[in-house]
Amino acid sequence: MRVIHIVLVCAVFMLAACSDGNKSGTATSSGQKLAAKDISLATLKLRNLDGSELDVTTLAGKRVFVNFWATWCKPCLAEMPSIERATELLAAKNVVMLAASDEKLERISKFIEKNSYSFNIVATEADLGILEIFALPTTFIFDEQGKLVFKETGAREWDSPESIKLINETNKL
Amino acid sequence: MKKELFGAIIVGGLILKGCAPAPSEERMPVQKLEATHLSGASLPFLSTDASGKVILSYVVDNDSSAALHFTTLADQQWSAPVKVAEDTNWFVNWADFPSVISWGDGKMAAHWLEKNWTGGTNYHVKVSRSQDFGASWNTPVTLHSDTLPREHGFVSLVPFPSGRMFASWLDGRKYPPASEHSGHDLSNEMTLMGGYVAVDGHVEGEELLDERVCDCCQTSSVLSDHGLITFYRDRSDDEVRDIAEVRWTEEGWTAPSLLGEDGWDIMACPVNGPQSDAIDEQVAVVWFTAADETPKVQLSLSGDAGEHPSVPIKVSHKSTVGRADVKLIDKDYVAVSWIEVVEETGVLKVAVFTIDGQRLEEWDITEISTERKTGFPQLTSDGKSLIIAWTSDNAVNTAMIALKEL
Repeated sequence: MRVIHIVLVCAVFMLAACSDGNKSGTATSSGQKLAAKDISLATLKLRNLDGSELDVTTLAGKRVFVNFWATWCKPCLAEMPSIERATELLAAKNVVMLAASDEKLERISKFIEKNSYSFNIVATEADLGILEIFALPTTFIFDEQGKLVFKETGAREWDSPESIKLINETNKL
Repeated sequence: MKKELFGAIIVGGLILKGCAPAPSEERMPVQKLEATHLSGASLPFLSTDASGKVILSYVVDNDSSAALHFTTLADQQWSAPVKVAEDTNWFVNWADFPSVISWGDGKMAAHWLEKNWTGGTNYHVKVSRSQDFGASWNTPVTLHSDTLPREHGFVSLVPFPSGRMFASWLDGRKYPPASEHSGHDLSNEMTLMGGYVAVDGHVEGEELLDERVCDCCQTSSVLSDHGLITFYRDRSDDEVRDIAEVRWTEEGWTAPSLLGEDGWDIMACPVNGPQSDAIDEQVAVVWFTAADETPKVQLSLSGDAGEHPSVPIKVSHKSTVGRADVKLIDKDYVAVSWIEVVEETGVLKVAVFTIDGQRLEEWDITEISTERKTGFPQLTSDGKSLIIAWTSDNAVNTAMIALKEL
């Protein structure tokens, strides 16, 4: 009976796998289409480090930079000082800078104790695989309407003139 | 050579086909293998010894301490668990996990990761040997000569018929002794090392295999008729992180050479290393790439011990997070597991290919989260069946697919 049940479940999966779907695309830094979902700030399931849910409605009307990182990720740690400098350069702009890790709150908090940054470090409960985040760091930028307009995998100097312009102005690459 | 038969599902008159070209013969079902002692466990590692016995190791982490156990499969039942080691200072990580291997004659070996410093991801590899089917274990030794607080892990153990074993691992000895801040400098380079562990547990022959590799992807080593081969994720000067191999020859280790040259140019951590297997001169290796933002699992096969690997065969379909494993069923057939993403849901898949790369059959084993907590699903074969292990619902889950013999 159990075997039959499993096989029938498999059948559902297989039928689903065969459907082409009708997915919306999102521009990436390389100009290619993601086979992607409708990614919004809400789908990132962000939490403050006290465990409370980050109310994304407070971000409405702002450009939002979300850098996905982890405490063990060396390229992530390497680019953090440049995110700090970019945060300072963009202080007067309508931009919110976030860095989100899917690690345990305790581990993230421990990292913050030893590394003082002024940008908002938060947790994410999102399934990064479903968000098509294939390596860390990966950075998303949402426009003032909450639309994902930029995705890039890998570290960069976020305080370079090119990056500052990108954070400020990118609407579609 | 034994032949296996794979075909389409026939269940209650309902014929179902996957997306791949499906033969028309009967396909064997997926059988869940239950074991109460796998509840609360994680980080499974599957292997098959020379006698054909399947060994499953796993970790039970209760926050105050962690323990490495193993169990063996007989008559579709997992044996009572055997504890290898337990301590309060282990580095327990979803991607860098312990292993237990067996020679089939009583000799066994295990490795785990020990963290003796606070702060940062600094840990050492500990190795222990057993001569009595795991009833007792030697005092563990450190696998590497570097004893400073730096990162060492992503180990692959290979048993030699003589009782020695080879180990490949990532070694952060070129890093400054670490604190949380040491990772801030991208000029630091992770190395790939290899070495041997004698039957008595003595470590010898440590050697640098590649001086600059990706920081946090698994290594995978196999023993072919022509010698050892180690697969790993390379890191070029231009931050291209494709899969490479080094092979042991009469002249020593070869220079690294790339498989497939995907061109995944990222200054980032994929945490998605290759897996490989070998029987005689036949070698199979699988890996994940997302070059050009196009995720896929690739399979490369070689009939000359990795000297001339085939053009990669795409294993996955539309979207995947990788975490692939591979096992040669025999010299004619190879099985691959990976996590496919289907309509925003992870699905653990297994497929069987002929040795020339033709996809024969494919199974959906289970839905599985693509979050890190589900770790790296494992695949092995005893020649008569495929055995799969994965973590979900706070337990190690296992399943078996019997292979129909012609």
